Amino acid sequence: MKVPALLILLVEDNADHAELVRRNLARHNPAHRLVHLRDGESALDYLFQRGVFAPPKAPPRPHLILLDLRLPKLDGLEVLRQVKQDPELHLIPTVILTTSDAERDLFRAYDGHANSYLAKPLDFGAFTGLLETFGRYWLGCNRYPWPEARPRGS
Amino acid sequence: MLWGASLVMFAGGGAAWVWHQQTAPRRLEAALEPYAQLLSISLPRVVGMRATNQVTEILVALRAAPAVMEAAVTDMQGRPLGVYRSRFEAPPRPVGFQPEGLYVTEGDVRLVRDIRVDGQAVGQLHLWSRVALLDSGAKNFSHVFVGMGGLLLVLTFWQTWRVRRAVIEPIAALTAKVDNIIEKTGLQPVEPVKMEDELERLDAHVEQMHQALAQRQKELQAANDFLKAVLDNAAPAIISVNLQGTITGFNPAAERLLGYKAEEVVNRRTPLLFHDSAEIKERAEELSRLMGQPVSEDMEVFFCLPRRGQTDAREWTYICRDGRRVTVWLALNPLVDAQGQLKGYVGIAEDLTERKQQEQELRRKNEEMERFIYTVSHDLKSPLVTIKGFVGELLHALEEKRYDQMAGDLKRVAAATDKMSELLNDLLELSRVGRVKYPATEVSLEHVAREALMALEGVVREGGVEVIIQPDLPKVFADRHRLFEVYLNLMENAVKFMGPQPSPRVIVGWESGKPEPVFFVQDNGIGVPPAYQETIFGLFNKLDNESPGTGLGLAIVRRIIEVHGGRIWVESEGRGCGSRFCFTLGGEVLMSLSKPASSTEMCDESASSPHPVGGG
Repeated sequence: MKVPALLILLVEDNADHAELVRRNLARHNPAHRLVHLRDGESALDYLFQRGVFAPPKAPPRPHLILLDLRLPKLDGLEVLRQVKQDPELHLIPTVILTTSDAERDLFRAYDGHANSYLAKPLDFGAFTGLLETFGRYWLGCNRYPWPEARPRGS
Repeated sequence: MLWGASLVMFAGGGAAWVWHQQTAPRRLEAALEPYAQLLSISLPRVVGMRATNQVTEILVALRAAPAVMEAAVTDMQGRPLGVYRSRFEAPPRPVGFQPEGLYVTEGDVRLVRDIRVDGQAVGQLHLWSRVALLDSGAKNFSHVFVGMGGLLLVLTFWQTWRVRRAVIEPIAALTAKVDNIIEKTGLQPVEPVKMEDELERLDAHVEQMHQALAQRQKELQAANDFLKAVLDNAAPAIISVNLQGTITGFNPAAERLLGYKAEEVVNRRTPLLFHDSAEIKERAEELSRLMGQPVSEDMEVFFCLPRRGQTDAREWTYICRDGRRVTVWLALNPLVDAQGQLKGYVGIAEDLTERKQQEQELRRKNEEMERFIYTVSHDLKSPLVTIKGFVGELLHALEEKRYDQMAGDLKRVAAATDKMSELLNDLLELSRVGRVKYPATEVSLEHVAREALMALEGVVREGGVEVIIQPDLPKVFADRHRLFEVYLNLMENAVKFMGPQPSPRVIVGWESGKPEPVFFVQDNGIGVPPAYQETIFGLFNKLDNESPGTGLGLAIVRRIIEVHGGRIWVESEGRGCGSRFCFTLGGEVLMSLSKPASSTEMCDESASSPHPVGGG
């Protein structure tokens, strides 16, 4: 039985950072797919399958959300709140990945039922190491509530 | 009264006695004269005949007259012809010739009358009596006189004793009392008093007291004036009440704060008039819990702590006459007189409105500062993550001898450093506004706007934007360099946030409206939703993170406008409706404001004198 590739939704406004995440994940964990969205509004459109993501073009539901906090239009905390209030979407593990190590953000993220909180390290080695560990754990060890990515509602 | 009557009687008695003494000879003469007249009827005949026997017989008839003690008849030579004696215990009085008349000697009275025959004196009749026999009234008068004299003496002593008790002793006591007062009140005697008698001392002391009282009065007046000045000019509202809670004092600051006049409330109302009853109820419950006994929902909530000697200072809400609610800091203290007797309470209320506003402002500044630090750390960190990350990628690629991606990665690094440098420049600029000042000069806003337009020539042409600068923009007295930045920023934003507008247009103008002229930069671009109309002037608050820029532009503009004493705000119906950034300038800046032509209302379609510059 073929294990389906895990689908990660990356919500990150900084294209450079997204590229770094993409490269580092790819380097150590080839068996995954990454969808990158640049703002909170489109992330919610994607998850709730509306707007440009409305059926029949509805994308598959991600296994994991990698969410930045400072986002244009709708910030990461608001995205988190809406996801965690949804009866189905709230099951998706949501990992915060942000430059902020402010306590306030940390607290608010967990208050919004974030599943993990990672601060982007400045140092390249640490950044690579973090994403390697992240990949090994979330893509290697972690078990997900549904085995394969499938369209919502099907 | 009695003494007066005695005095009158004493005087009367004395006078009567003196009168009696004076009139005695005449009365004695009148008493003896009838006997002399009686005898002179029969005597001339027998004396002429020298019939001594008959003379004696005639004289014996005097027995019927008890007042006559002795009688004698003599011839003109004084030889006796006959004698009569009523009693014989005393030797006979000597006889001899005496001229006619009345002689009074040592109580004896002797009346001598000539006995005449045909007008010729032939002998003399002598009648003796005693004043006492004739004049017993004199004795009575003297008795009255002496008696009354005695009574007077007694009465005088009594009176003196009474005067002493009723007048002198009280005066002495009064003097001692005055002494005591002077000593106790610490009033220094003006001069040493010569203590001759009580009255003199009393007079001196009363004078002293009068002076001291006048002095005290002056001091009290001065203290009163001082207190009045303090109360009248004190910034906090000072309200005093009596033990029943009725207002007894209401200073002008209280009048200003609450809108009630002193005469409306003093002796008429209690402070419950301007307190919130819900707050009183709440406080009563709180105090009841605190004291372990019920505290009623009235003035008792103010009194119960100060009465126990505890200062009660806390926030209260005053409801002013016009219904306005003012938060005050009210400190309550007991009002105690010199004897330590509780007379009432004094409340001193400070208006906290301004402080609250300052606190709010401070809180706002603090929040802004926090956000500033948070954002700066994020926005500086973010390009650093990029730089370090891609430098790492580049090193990695070099090791693996993969060169295909290196140019792209280097561009990312360069862009990130540019972003950092831009952010640092803006931060520096922001900190310099207000701190570093260029000298104010006369600045034509039209010129400044035109210069800004020239600086933006590239983007304006690229976007095909029509920019209209109202030619009558006035001259002001300000920092030219900063005003250039204001126009540059606002106009750049206007051009930058055009959105999908087929005929983009920006108008730079002003309205000399009331109460102050308003300058504006208006566009027909994407507009600003109401929710962002205040926050866009905050630090790092970008309407759209995808837009270029640091999010500091409008914060810098606001800072510049505030330094020039003005305000800045944005008017926009929302997304897609265009926006109008308006600002004012302080009076000092507008001082030399001159307007070449009359003001023209600017409308989108009817710009009075369109001045298209650039545009497609």
